[in-house]
Order: sequence, then structure tokens, then C-alpha cells
Amino acid sequence: MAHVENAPGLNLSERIYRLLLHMYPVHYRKQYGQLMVQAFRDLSREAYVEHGFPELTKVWAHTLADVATTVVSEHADVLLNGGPGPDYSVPAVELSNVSKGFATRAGPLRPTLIDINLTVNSGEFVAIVGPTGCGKTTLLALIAGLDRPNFGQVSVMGQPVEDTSRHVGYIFQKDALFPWRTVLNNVLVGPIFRGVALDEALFFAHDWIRRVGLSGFEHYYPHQLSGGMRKRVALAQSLIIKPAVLLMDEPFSDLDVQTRALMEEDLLELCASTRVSVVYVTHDIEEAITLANSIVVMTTGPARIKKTYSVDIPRPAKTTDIRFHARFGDLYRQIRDDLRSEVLKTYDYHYI
Amino acid sequence: MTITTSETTSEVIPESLQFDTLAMTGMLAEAMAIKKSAHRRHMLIVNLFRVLVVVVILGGWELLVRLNVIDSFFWGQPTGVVAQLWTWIREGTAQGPLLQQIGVTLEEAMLGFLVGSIFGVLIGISLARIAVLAEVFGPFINIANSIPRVVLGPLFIVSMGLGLQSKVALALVMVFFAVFYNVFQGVREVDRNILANARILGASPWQISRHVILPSAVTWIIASLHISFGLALVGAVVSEFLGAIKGIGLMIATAMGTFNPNGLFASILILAVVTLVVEGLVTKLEGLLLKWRPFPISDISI
Repeated sequence: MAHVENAPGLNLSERIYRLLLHMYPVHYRKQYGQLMVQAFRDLSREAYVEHGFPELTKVWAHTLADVATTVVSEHADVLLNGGPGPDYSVPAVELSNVSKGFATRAGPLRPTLIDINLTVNSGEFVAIVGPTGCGKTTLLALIAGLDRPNFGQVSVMGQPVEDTSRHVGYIFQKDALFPWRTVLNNVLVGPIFRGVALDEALFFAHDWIRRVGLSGFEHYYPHQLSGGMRKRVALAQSLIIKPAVLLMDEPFSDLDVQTRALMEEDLLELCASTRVSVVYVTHDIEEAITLANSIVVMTTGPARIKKTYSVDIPRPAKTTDIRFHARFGDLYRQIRDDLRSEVLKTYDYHYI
Repeated sequence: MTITTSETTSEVIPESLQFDTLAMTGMLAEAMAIKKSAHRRHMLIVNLFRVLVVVVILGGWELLVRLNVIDSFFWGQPTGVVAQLWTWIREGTAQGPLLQQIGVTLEEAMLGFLVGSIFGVLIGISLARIAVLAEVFGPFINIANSIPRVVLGPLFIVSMGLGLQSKVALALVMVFFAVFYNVFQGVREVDRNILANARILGASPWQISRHVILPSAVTWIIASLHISFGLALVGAVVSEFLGAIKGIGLMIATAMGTFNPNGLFASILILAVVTLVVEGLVTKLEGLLLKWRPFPISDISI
């Protein structure tokens, strides 16, 4: 390491590498330095021999970006959480006998959730479907620590939820971006709140903006973006804090069908590239089957868990292909029947 | 060592951007030019009518005075007002140079405006954020607000004298309540989703105040600033009526005492110009602070 840095007559790639080093705090240099230089040299040689100098410069640019991204994302946990990342061997989310009610003006506590037991394993994608107003959003709020249950216990990454957790990201149904901040500043805000230095936060932010495909829109304000793009910003804003659990509350319900399909695909890819577990609330059965590993069907409010399905369609598969899988129709029919019987109950209750 | 997720995603979005940028820019420029010339013609007509309105009112007034329908002793006359202004500019007022009077009143109003706004914002945010404070101080603020502020003028003059302080105090009180109620309301109406989002992203209560509450309330603060400089001016001028050594309010009082309607109209004209200039500055400030909004408030309100 030392001899590389002190060597006289550094070549260009080493000079770029040294430049790169100045961008990061000390604690990752040692581990990755040698590796980076080697990878860099190999790529440079290959590019130069095969394509000449212009191609070489391109390779340099890409390599720099990739190496930097890798190094930084490997250390995101240290930067964001001030320590190693969460323990991924425990269930990501665990709800045991959770009940929640709200006080009403008319009378006593009106129950919303009754006796919910739910386990989301690490890396799992769980969809929650249920009739509108059955308490799905309340469930997410409990997991996020925005609200507390009346009975039972909620834990995230093995720790009981007391307040909002460092390990949880949340994508809201309605826009929750800061309208007075540009895309870049919106994405940046999580690390900044967690005390990450600005230049590092900027690095994460640029990386995530690139990963959600919004490069070039860094300085746009949310109102200048389309609905789909705003959702992408929200994704970057949530994923930049490296959540172990991502809660999504009908995130794509406002989008048109095409945008939605694209977003679903990108979401799956982003999830695969991180180790995030997802709890995804939706009322769209098709979306649930397309995205999730397991589907939880809720009853009408006060909500209980009616049934849990595991989606045994082999992954990874293209979201568009899943629809044509033999199991898709079966699952769809079963879940639809479950939901229909629940929705009919509300009608009975109100109109007969 | 490569992260591949970007490949598909980055191909997806720019699709919407793949129109022929040059042609588009050309078309846009053309459309803008057409719109601009139409707008210019429209504004010309509007301005002509505006001039006509002024001519009719001022000309009618002057004519009626000349025909002895209106007594200029009580109602003054436009030429008299201009003459009065000219005398003030050339020879100064009874209390000293005209600019000095304007300066004094502006200084009082500005100070009252600044201090009142700052207090209004700080106390508004604190009370809206800390429920106990609102519970304790809420009734007092409501009681204080129910007093017509102008009646506090004599009190301030008795306790603080004829100088700057009493004027600033009245202007401050007038501004404070306008700003306070706006900010209080603004903070209460901060989007719940954005608040929850900030909490999830790890914001501390202080960071929420600084990064969420304040920016959301800025809209309301700016809206209140538009009104409150006028109020500050009212406070300063009224306090000057009641007792002062210098200022536009004193000029008005003097004109009233000497039965000089032209002087009154001239003072009013000066006040109007001062207010308009400051209003313009506030609008500039608004543009700076609220550039993230799709439409500035001033476009919506009128």
C-alpha cells in the first residue's frame, strides 16, 4: 500500500486512484486500496491494448465510478449506523399478537387490527392485500414505529420497536418528498439527518440517483417531475439509508399501467441488489403476486390475518412473464375469492 | 466490481426525453414569441385604460374645483397636491427635509417589521410545536389579540417617549400578531406525510423543525409579510400622529392642524409609494425563498 502511494513517477491510473482515495475516510483505504489498483490496472491494460486511448479514458471513468460505488456502499453501514450493519439472520419483522385500536369521538376504542401475528424473514418480499380501510396502513405505521400497538409486540431486526428505527425505510402512498428540496437534496436528506458528512452524503446520493435512473435530474424540484419519477426519487431517498426493511404503502397506485410495470421491475432489481426485506401493501392482487414471495390476505376491518399464501413461482423471473406462469391464475383466483367474500361483508354491514 | 442495476433503469427513464430537442426548442421559441407579442398588445391596451382612469379622476377633480363645485379649501386639488410635493422636495417640510421624514418613518416601520416578524415566527413555531406552551399562552395571546392594537399607541408614547422606541413598539405589536397567527396555522398544517417521512429518515425533533417545519411555514410567513409591512407602516404613522418629533405621521398631523388638504393628500401619496416599493422588495424575497413552488403566492392571491 505504502509503496504504491510513495512510488515516484506514478502513472495516470495510479494518480486517479490517489485522487479517489481523498474522497473517502481513512477506514476503507487499507482494505480496498490494493484491490482497486489491481482491478484498475487490469482494465486499463485491456482497454488500451484492444481499443486505444479514447476507449481507455472511458474505461477509467466507468471504473472509477464503479469502484467508488462499491467501496462506498460496502461501508454505508458504518457511515449510516455508526457500526456494522444489522444482523440479517433474525427475522426482519416480527409481530406477535398485535392489536391496535383508535379512540373515536362517538365511543370507546374502535379496533383496527386484532391479534396479528406476522413474520417477515430477511430478504423476503411480503405483500399485504385487503379491502380498503382495513388497517393495512396502520400495520405499516406500527412496524415503522410511527405508532404504538395497544397490545402485543412489534420487533424489527430482532429489536422491539420503540420509536422510528434506523433500519426501516418507508415509501408513502401520497408524495412525501420535500417539495422545497431538489431531487439531489431530497435523496441526500436521510444521510444528513443521520450525521453523515456532506461530501459523503453527496456521493451516496449521486450513486442512488444513478441507480434509480434519474441522472440528469439532480437539480429538478419534485413538482417538475412526473409521478413515476417522483416515486423513483422516493425509492432513492429510502434506499440510500440502507434499510433492512422497506415498507411500501400502495406506492404505485397513482401511476399509469405502463409506468407501474416498469417501476415494479426496477423495484425487484433494486431489492435484489440490496438485502432489503419488503412489506408491500396493495389492493391489487396481480401486483402482489408479481412482486411478492408471500402474500398475506387481511379481513375487513377490524383486520385479522385471513390467510397467507406463498408464491411458489421460481425467481428471478421477468415481472411480465410471471403473469403467464401456470400458478399465477390459481393464486389469483384464490386470493380474489378471499377478498371478494371480505368486501361483500362490508356491503352487508352497511347496506342490508 | 460493477453494479449492474443501473443499466436497465437508466435506459428506461430517458425514453421520455428522446424527442428532437432542437426542433422542440425552435417550436417553443416560436410559440413564445407569438404569445409575447400578443401579450404586449394586450398590455398596451390595459395601460391605455389605466391612464384614462387616472386622467378622468384627477382631471374631473381639478375641473370640479375650478368650476367651484368642490371647495378646494376642504378637498384640495391635484395641482395643489403637486405644488405641495414640489415645495416639500425643494424647501423641505416644517420639520426638516422631506427625505428625512420618509427615512424616519421607514426606519420605525422596518424595525417594527423585522423584530415583529422574527418574534412572530419564533413564537409561532414554538407554540405550534410544543403543546404545553400553546396551552399555557394560548388564552393570553387571544386576549392580547382582541385588543385593537392602535389603542396601545398612547400607552407606548407615555412609557417610551416621543422618540423611536414608541413607534417601533406599536409597529412591532401590529406585525407580531399577523405573523404569529399565520405561522402558527402554517406549522399546524404541515403535511403529515412529509413529517412522518422525515421521522423515518432519522430526523431529530430539532432537525424536523429546521428542515421540515420552517420550510413549510415559509410560505405562510411570506404571505404574512405581504400584509404585515403595511401594518408596520400603519403602526409607525399612527404612533407619529399621537406624538412625534419627525416623520410622515407628523406631517399628516401638521397638515390636519393647519387645514391643508393638499398636504394630507401629498403625505398619503408618499406613504402609498413607500408601501409599494417595500411590497415589491418582499415579492423579490418571495421569489428567492419560494423558487421551489410551481406558482408564487402573489400570482394566486390577486
